[in-house]
Amino acid sequence: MTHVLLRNVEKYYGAVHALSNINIEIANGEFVVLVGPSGCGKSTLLRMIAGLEDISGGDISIAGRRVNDLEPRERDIAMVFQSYALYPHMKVARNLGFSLELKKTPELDAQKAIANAAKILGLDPYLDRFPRALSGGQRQRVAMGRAIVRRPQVFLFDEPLSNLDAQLRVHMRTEVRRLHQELAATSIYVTHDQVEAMTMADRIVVLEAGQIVQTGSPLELYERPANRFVAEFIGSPSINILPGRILDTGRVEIAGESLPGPGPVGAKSGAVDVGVRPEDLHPADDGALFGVVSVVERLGAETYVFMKCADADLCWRVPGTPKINIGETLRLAVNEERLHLFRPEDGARLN
Amino acid sequence: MLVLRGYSRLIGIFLLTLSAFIIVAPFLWVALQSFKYEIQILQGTWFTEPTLHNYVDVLWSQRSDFLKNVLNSMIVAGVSTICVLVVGTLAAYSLARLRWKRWIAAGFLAWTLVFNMIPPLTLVGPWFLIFREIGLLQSLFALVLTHITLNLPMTVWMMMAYFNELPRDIEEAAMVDGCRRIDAFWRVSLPLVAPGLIAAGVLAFVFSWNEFAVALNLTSRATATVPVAIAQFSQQYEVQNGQMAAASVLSTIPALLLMFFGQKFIIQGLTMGAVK
Repeated sequence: MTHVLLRNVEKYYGAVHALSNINIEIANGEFVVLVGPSGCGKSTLLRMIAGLEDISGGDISIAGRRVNDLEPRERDIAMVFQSYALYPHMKVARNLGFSLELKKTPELDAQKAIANAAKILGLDPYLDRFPRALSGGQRQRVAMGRAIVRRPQVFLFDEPLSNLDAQLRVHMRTEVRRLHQELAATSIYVTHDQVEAMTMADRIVVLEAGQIVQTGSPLELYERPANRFVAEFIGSPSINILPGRILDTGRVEIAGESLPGPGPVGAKSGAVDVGVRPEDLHPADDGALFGVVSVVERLGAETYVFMKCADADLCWRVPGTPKINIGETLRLAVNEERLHLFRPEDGARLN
Repeated sequence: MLVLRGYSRLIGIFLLTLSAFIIVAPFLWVALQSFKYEIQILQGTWFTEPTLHNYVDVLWSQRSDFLKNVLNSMIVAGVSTICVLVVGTLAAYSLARLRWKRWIAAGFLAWTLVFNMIPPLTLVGPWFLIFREIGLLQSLFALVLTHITLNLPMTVWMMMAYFNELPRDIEEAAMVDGCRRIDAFWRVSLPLVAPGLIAAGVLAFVFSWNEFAVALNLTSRATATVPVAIAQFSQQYEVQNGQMAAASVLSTIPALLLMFFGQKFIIQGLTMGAVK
C-alpha cells in the first residue's frame, strides 16, 4: 500500500531549479534512503515532505492525504535533525514529551509513552538531565525518542548520524535499523554516506543535481547501476572506470586487448567507459590489465591493491592478506559477466 | 587568555589601576561631598565628620521633590523598557526569521540606526513642537515615547544577534512537534533568548534612567525625572552642592543594582557572535 506519494515534485529557489520532476512511491513500513552528494537536493526534498519548505510544483501526499498546503504540525510526521535540535531549556523527559504536551495528551498516557520510549532507547537514567549534560550519542537517542513518542505516520531522518564519531555511527546505524524493525514505521532517511544507504535501506533513491538518477534495492544499485554516476557513488572502494572500445565485432577491448567475453554487446562500436568493481578482478597470466603496484592497504580481512593501468588508477580488492609488494608488476583479468559499460559522453549504461 | 609576566605584568596592573581610578575617582569625590555640610564643600575641606544632613534634606525637605522625581523616573524607565522589549524582540524575531526581502530588512535596520547616529538634541526641538501641538507636552507619556524611540534600535540589534545565534533547527523541530510559529516563538525561542532580554532590558532601563537632554526639555516641575532634578539643585542664585551630590549618589543606586545583576548577560550580549 502506498503510504507516501511524491508526484512531479518541483522546487525552485528564484531562478534556480533545485529539484525537478521527483516521483517516489513509498510503501507502508518501508525504509527509504535518499542519497546523493552535497547539494543534490536530498535535504530540501525531505524538508518539503516535512513542510519546512514550500513545494513549487507537484503533489505530496501522506497516508492518502494531500499535504501540500498543510503546516508541519498537521502532517503527522516526526523528524530527526542532523543537529538533534533538542530543546536546551527542557529536561530529557520534557523533550521527549513536548509533542504530547502540545497535543494535550492526558498526563498518564504521556508518561507511559515517555517511559516506553526511554526504555526502548536506554534513556531511563537520563530523563532528569538537561541535553547539555548528555554525550553526542545520548542526544542522538533523545532526538529519536522524541520522534518515537509521537507514533507518527512517517519518520523523517536528516543525516542523523553525521555528527557522531565513526564507531558510534556504525553502532547507531544498527540501532536505527533495529528500531525500524521493531516499530515497522515508514521511514525516509537522508544521507550522503553510501555505506549508510547500503546497510540500512529497503530501497535507495539516488539523487544528482536535483533529479532522481536511480531507484532500487541496495543490491540492484550495486549490481546494475543505471549510469556511471551511480556506479561510482555506490560501493567502497569505488568502482574502477577504464577507457575502452567496442569493436565492430561487438567485443569489448580494454588497454588494447580484446576480451574474450562478454559476447557481442548490443551497442554501437566506438569508445566506451568500462566499469569494473574492485572485487571483479583476479590474477591471470593472460589478463588484459597490466600494471605496477603503487599502494597496498591491508585491512586484515581484505587488502586493497592500487595500481596504475592503462592510464587509469585501478583498485583490486583481495580477500585476506596476500603477499603483494609495492613496485611489483601484476597482470589481472576481469570477471567478464560483471562488466558495466557506460557511454563516455553522458555516462548512460550500455549493457 | 593573555598572561603577562615580569615588567609587563607590573605595567599592566598599573594601567588597570589608573583606568579604574580615572573612572571611579569623580564618582568617589561626589560621594565624599555628599557627606559634608555646604560650608565645608565650599572651603574645600577634604576630611570631615560625615553627616547625613544632605540626604535627609534631599529626601524629606519641603522644597525637594526628589521622591516624586524618583517615581517619575521609575515610571518612564520601567514603561519605556517594557515597550522597547516587546516591540524590539518581535521586530528582531521578524527580521531574523521571516523571509523579508533583503532591502526591506536592510532599510529598516539602517533607519533605526539613524536615531543612534544623530544627537538626541536635534530631535528635541521637533519633538517639543509635536508634543505641544497634540497636547502631550510635559507629560510622562511623551517622555516614554521618546525614550522608546531612542532605545529601540539598540534593542532590535541586540535581540537580532541573539535570534541569529539560535539554531533554526530547534524552532523547526518544535513546529514538526506540533507548534504553530507563535508557539515555537513563545515556548522555545523566547526562553532561550532570555539572557538577551535581560541584557537589553537592563541597558534600556539604565539609558532611560540617565537620559537628561530630552527629559530636561519635555518635562515640567511635576514630571521632572531624576537627572533633571539633580540639575535643578544648581540655580541662578544658589548652588546646593551637598544636596546635588547626595541626589547623584542616590540616583545611581537602581542602575548600579541592575548592572550588578545584569552584567554577565550584558557582556555576553555585546560580544555575541563575535567569536565562535
